[in-house]
Order: sequence, then structure tokens, then C-alpha cells
Amino acid sequence: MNKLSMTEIEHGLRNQSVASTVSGDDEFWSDFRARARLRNQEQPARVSMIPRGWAIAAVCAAMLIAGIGILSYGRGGGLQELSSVRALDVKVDHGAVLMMTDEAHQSTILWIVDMQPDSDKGGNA
Amino acid sequence: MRMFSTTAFILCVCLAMPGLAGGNLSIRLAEATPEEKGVPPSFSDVAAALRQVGFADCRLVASVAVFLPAKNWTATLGEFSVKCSGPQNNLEVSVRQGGRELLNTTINLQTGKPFVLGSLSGRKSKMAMVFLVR
Repeated sequence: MNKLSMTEIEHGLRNQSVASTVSGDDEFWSDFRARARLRNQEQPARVSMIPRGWAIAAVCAAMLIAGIGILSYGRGGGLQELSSVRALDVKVDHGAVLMMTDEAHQSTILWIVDMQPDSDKGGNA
Repeated sequence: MRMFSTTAFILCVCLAMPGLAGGNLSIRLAEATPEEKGVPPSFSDVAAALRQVGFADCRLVASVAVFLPAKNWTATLGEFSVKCSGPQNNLEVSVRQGGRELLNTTINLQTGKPFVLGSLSGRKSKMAMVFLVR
């Protein structure tokens, strides 16, 4: 293993040093401006964890679910709608059928008058 | 884009929840009583509706609850049996008494809006069924 003297090391390093390429003011400032321009480059685009196609599909699916939900909620009745009777079939004799809605108390009443549970004859109302 | 997608998804799901979620239906059987006892606390939420149909004095005979939509769910309330099938807005109800079918009806129940079915003839007195979805 060769041992270099301090003088040889200094000499060797001096020879390896890069000579300055900037020779004048114009070159210095042109180099400075070029470097300054490099500082404000656009940020690289962010890499999303979710592929764009999947994100759009998820939003569409959510909107579809929301639509179905809102529609079924609407069919089920809005906030102002009362409970109601869609169909009625009274199987025993009865006098009359009264259907009442009490707006004040938000209730619906289906009243079957004189229902005869022991009768054999059915009837439709 | 990701933020927008997440927000839109959460918003849509929240909007859809009320429509998709089923309600809890309670059915209570009230019996009109000659004694002036008023409407018991168990009917406090529908007291006005009961008074409207002459059940100002009544008692609770039985109560049951089912989560909607129901699939041929059957329960016994006193001397009556009730069969429910379907969703809240199209609930098919069949009422029987002593094995005899009294009536079939299809009702559209609104949450928090009581539906009173009467007057059913009990052994002793008149009865009414109160349907209420919470």
C-alpha cells in the first residue's frame, strides 16, 4: 500500500478540482437566472390512491343508491303525508266503513261499523 | 378528485338512508272500558287519536313490535291474530279472530303517524288496534 505525503495529496486534489466555468458578469447572471427559473417548476401530479375510473364509478353508484332511496322515501310519503289505506277487504258482515284522517293529530282512522265476526257472509268495502 | 368523490359518496349515502331504512312497527290493542280511567300512559303518543274514536277511557290489552319490512310475520294480540307482510309503504295486514278472518288491508304507514283500526268486537267490549312506525 502506497503512502502519499501531504504535499502529494494537496497537489493531487488541486489537479482534480473543477475549474470555474464562469468567466464574466454576463455569464454569471445568465446562469443565475437559469437556476432561478428552475426553482418554481410545477409540482409533479399527485398520484391518487384510487384510480379515476373507480372513483367515478363509486360516485355514480352512490348517486344511484341515493336516487332509489329518495324515490322510495318519496313514495313512502313525504314528511307531511299521513298514513293511508291502499286496499281493504272486510271478510265479515259489517254496517259501514269509515275512513278518517285527523290532520290535527296526524292520525288516520279506519273504522268498521257493526262488524259481525260470527257472520258467514263476507263483503268487500 | 379523491376528496370530491369521498364527499359525494358520503352525502349520497346519507341522503339515501331514510328511504332505505325500515321502521319499527308497534301494534297495540286497546280495549274501551266503561270505567273513567282515561287513556293510559302506554297510549300517550296516540291519546288524541283514541279519544277521536271514542276510546277516551281504555286499557292496553297487548302490544307487539316488528321491524319492517315484514315477511309473513304473525303475532297474537289478545283474542286477535295479526299477520303482516311487506314494506312500510305497502304493508299487507290480515286480522283474524278465533280462526276466522276478519279483514285484509294494505296500508301505507308513515313514520310517526298513527293508524287506528277499529272497531273490532271483543268478547266484552269494543277494541281498536293502533299501528305506529318509529
